[in-house]
Amino acid sequence: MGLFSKMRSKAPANDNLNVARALLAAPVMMATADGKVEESEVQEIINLCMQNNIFVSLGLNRTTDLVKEVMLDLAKRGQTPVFDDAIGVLAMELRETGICFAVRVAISDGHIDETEFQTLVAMAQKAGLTADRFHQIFEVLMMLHRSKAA
Amino acid sequence: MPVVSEKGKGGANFSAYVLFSEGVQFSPSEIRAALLEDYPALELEVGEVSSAFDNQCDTDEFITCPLFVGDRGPDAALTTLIRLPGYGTWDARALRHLQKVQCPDIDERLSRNQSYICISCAASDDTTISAFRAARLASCLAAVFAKLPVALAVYWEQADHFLSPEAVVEMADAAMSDDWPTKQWIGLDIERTDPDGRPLFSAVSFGLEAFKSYEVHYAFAPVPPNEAAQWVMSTAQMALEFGNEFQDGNTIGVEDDADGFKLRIRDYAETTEAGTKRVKMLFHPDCPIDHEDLCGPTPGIEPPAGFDNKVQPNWGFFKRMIRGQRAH
Repeated sequence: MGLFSKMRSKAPANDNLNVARALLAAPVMMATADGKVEESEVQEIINLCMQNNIFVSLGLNRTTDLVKEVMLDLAKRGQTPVFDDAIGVLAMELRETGICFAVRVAISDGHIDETEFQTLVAMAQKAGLTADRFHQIFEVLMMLHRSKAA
Repeated sequence: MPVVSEKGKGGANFSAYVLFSEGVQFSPSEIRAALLEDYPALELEVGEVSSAFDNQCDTDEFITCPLFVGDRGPDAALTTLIRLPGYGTWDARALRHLQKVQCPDIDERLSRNQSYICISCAASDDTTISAFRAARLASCLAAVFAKLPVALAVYWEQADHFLSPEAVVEMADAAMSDDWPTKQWIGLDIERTDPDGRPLFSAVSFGLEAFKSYEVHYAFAPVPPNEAAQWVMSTAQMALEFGNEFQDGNTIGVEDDADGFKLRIRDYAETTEAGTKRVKMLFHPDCPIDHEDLCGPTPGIEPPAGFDNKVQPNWGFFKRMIRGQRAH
């Protein structure tokens, strides 16, 4: 005979939540790279998340809380340990997803400057993506944000 | 067998029996809190549990406990936790092979089974979306219990098969992403016969009826058993995920199949002890049964030769439907 609450505390942690938290590292780092966080950037990250099944399964409120948790974690521990932890949690396919999110955040204002681009390249390298793979991702997402014919 | 109300008289009922190696004590408010912690995207507006409904439950004793009383939200299906003395035990020797496929060591697990809880969720109406929501809620609640270290297995009644605790967590996670955990929610049975010395196989679904008011039956044909099973599961997937409505006489085939292989779909009313059951029969071209003898003349007019009128999948149909209902 056992108590539910006692047994539950011994149950394995929710992997989905850890994966979701790790996925947010790159886009939140991108949003906070200039030292300040616009409400619109937070909203952009949440909008992106709600198109992904991992975050759909967590719901809007939990996702919003997670974005705030990752922001606080970044402010407290700094970028390197947060990003290293995220890479440790994510398989290669999901690291690509995290980089996609980061690119989307970087280009959400319609343009991307050299510093932002180099930050993305550095994150992709650290996540183990090849240069070719990163450029594929980048080009496709730039196409998505075209506002007029070239 | 699935408990399905008649059309227009309410929705299907989904039951999951979580088997334990020892008794578990809990209160309904603990289960509600654990459910919302693990599955926060459920659309449930829960209030405080009245003390009248929050008694301590023990899976070694009699339990009939409503879980969501007066709560609101699209996912707030009528839910009851049940444990009746002398019910919910299985004899491992009496199980069919396909009841054990998703929990291969169920014989050993059943030998350690000391206690259980049955989770029962009723869909609010007879639509597929309501049935999905009720099955999803039952899956999430089953997963809350299945994560306990004393959980051995879960018997999913509508599919008439056992699932490992890991498969139950996978089932709940998939449903929370608005995917259909078809492998867990729909069970299968395969039969073999050997007329004239050649083996023929048939396959039939268990549990699709709760969502679509019919089962799929692949009629005996000289095909490998896994082929018959795959056609049944693919047809169920098309009905559930892609929203395909199969009309009597339609055909389905393999995409880009140059030989034009196709199965004929026929409506059939099967008489069982529980009454009449609607079945979509799939007939292979080499099936020895004449579908018109069994199901009557094929309705409609055959298309001209070379004209492709196979049923096409509508990718993402269900996800668009259920996500369109979300408040945000």
